[in-house]
Amino acid sequence: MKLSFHEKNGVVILEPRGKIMGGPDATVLHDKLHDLIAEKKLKVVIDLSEVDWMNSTGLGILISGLTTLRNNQGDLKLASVTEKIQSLLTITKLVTVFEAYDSVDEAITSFGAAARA
Amino acid sequence: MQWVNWLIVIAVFYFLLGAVLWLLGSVIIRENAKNRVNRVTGLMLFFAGLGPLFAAIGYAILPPGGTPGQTPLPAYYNLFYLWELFFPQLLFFSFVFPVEHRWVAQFRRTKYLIFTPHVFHLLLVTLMTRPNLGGLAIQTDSSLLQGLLAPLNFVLNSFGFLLSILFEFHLKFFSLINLLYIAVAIWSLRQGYKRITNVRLKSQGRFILGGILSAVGLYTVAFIMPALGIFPLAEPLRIALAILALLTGSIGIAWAIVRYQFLDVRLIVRQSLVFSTSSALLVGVYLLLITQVSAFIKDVLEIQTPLIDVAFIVLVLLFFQPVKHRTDELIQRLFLRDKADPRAILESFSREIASLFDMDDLKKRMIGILTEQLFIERAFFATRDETSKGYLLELKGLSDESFSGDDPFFVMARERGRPVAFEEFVLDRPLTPTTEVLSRWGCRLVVPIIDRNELTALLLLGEKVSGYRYGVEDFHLLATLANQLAVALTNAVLYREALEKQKMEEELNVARQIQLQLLPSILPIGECYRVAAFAHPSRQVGGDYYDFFDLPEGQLGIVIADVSGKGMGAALLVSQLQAFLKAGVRSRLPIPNVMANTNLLVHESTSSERFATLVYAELDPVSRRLSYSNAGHNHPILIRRDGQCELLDCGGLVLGVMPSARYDMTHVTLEMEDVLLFYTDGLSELQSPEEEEYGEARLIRFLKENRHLDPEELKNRLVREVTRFALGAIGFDDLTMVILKMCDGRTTVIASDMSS
Repeated sequence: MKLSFHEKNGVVILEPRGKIMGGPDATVLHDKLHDLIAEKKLKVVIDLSEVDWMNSTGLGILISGLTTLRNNQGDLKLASVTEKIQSLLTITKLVTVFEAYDSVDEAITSFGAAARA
Repeated sequence: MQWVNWLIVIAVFYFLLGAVLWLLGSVIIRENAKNRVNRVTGLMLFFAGLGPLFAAIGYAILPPGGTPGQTPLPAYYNLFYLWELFFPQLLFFSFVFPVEHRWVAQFRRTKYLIFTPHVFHLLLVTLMTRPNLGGLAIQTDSSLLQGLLAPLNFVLNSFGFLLSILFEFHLKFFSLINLLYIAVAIWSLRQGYKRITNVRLKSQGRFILGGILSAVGLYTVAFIMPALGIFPLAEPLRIALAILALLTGSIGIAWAIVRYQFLDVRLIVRQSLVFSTSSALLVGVYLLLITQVSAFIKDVLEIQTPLIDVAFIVLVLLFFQPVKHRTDELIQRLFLRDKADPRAILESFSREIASLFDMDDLKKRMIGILTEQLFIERAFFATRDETSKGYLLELKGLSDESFSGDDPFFVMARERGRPVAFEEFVLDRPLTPTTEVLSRWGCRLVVPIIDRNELTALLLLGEKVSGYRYGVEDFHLLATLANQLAVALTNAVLYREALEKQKMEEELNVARQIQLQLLPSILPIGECYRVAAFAHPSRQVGGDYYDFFDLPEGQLGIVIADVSGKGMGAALLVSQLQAFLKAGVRSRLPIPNVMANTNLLVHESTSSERFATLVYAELDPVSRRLSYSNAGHNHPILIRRDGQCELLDCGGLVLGVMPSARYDMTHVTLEMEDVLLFYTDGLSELQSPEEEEYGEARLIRFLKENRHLDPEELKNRLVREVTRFALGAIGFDDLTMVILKMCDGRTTVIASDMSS
């Protein structure tokens, strides 16, 4: 897995590529999420368009990021979820927990809408 | 009488100041004679010290009422002028300090030409003792010879006269040359000073330059100006200025040494006593020799010639240094043992590292050898930290400090690849975080340890106990030791990795044991159903789990679960999950409550990344009703007798994520011959070598096609089928399945041990 990121309108967009599996690879994503929380950057979108697959460890990282962000009054949203990962989220019923958007821009806008509301 | 007393006071003052300068110079040269700056600085102070020393001797033996400048001095006292070699030496100093000029190396020999005027001056004043040089003419009583010699004597007399004019002129204007030298030296020192960037060097330079400039300036005012006829001064004022000049010069340099480590202070303290004593002895012997030999020559041969004095000056210049060097070496060997046999050290080290596999033992032993055999006061390792790509400085007893691998210090150490004096890392370079700490700590030598082009570690050595700098021999020895150490350290890393792997294997075995023990060893027996189960733990041991519960009213409880992660952590969570679930099931609470409680307990007892998926089902054998709740697990596949397929997806979120999650429950009524497969993602996600997944669709098709088989046979065929699909590559993930098949109750129930 490779990880790049950028910031737009105060929202950090993480772009993992490849498979999010266990091992040192996944630690990068985990650490990045927790670094962001430490930096008080609490609006995070993970762009999953380039993620082929994730296993339970990968899913665990997303869950952990989400709960930690929410505990700090932030949020983690998913964007461009591929079909395979969508089915994983459906089976695990995590669709009810994660907010998922078709595009990164929609995900970013959703933060703005929440702020205005 | 008053004047004589004053003379003695001045002589003592001069003597003390001269001695201080001598001491400084001598110690600086001794400290490292191979270093050009040391050599030049030492000689400069040595010459500077000669001035007041000879002046002191002059005052002490002068007849009352005279001063050294006014009275014609015997040839011997002309040794006084030796001190003026200070000026070319000062110029030379200005070319090597604080930064060596490029051309110093370029003009290897010719640079010494700057001494020519002073050597000429010295020879002239020594040879021409008296200003009247008419005495050159050869005297004889024979009138014949007188006639023959008359023209020659005329030539000699004329030559003598010319020489005496030259001498007069020379005495008057030689000071101009000194003044010129001073001016060039000051200009050059300023140029060099401007180029320094290092803060410590800058402060050091400031004091040295300040000291020298004020000394030279005061001297110019006191002696050179009056000698040139400008600005004449009264004798006492000149003496006061001279003393002040000597004081400021030596204080400036001494302060730079003490405060800014121009040279090592402790070293100077330690060695100065030994070396100054030996220097004093040597000078005494020399003076004794000179006076005795010249007296002997005068008495026995009745020859009186300034040549003897010249010869002695040459002797002093030629042999003083080597003789002093030998004496010091002897003292060093006797009192400050330094020489260690490098071959013996290498042999003992090679022998020992062959038996040392532990990294810490190895480092400890290496440091032991260095401190005991090479007499190094302190030695530390900086080792590469693979995760941060930085280096960790292992300071015993102090907190370890870690540094970025991008620090220019490490880059340079890597480039050099062999032992390098620490000086080279700081001289004329800005301090980096690493060099700052190291210079505070007193690092003297850096030995990079390189393995396969990687700087794996650094050995950092402090000062030697003997105070000597590291010699060529030490560099060779340390380079060889570093090579051996590189191999040994790599072996130690491999050994540690092997140990860790072994430990991990052991841990995995324990985890595997836990997992296997949690699985039921006997399958349940029921009149209307048959059950088969399969579990194949992966090499890494995942968190798959299945179980059956015999419930009080005859129902059968079935659970299949998958805990996220692998290894010991997953195995432990499985065991906890089993306990939570059993407690809930035994309490006969409604299934949704059991699920909600289990969810809460998992949430509370694990970190936020860990979760579990789980299906819990209860089969009532009488009503054939199956009640279940699915917490985010792969949907169990129900294949009806007629081949219809249903997926059991009712339930809720995976366990352990949201403490407040709610779980639904639903019922399905099972008919005869219905087949229900519970499985974990290891089965559906099994991949072919082309990375194609086996998938739910294939699974459903297989079950439909083979639904007539009894569960045990169905299980075996399914395992064979997926093994073939994956071309034997099972083992990446846990593979677990439970098959329930409804029957009419007459057929015997097949009980089978769990296969693994």
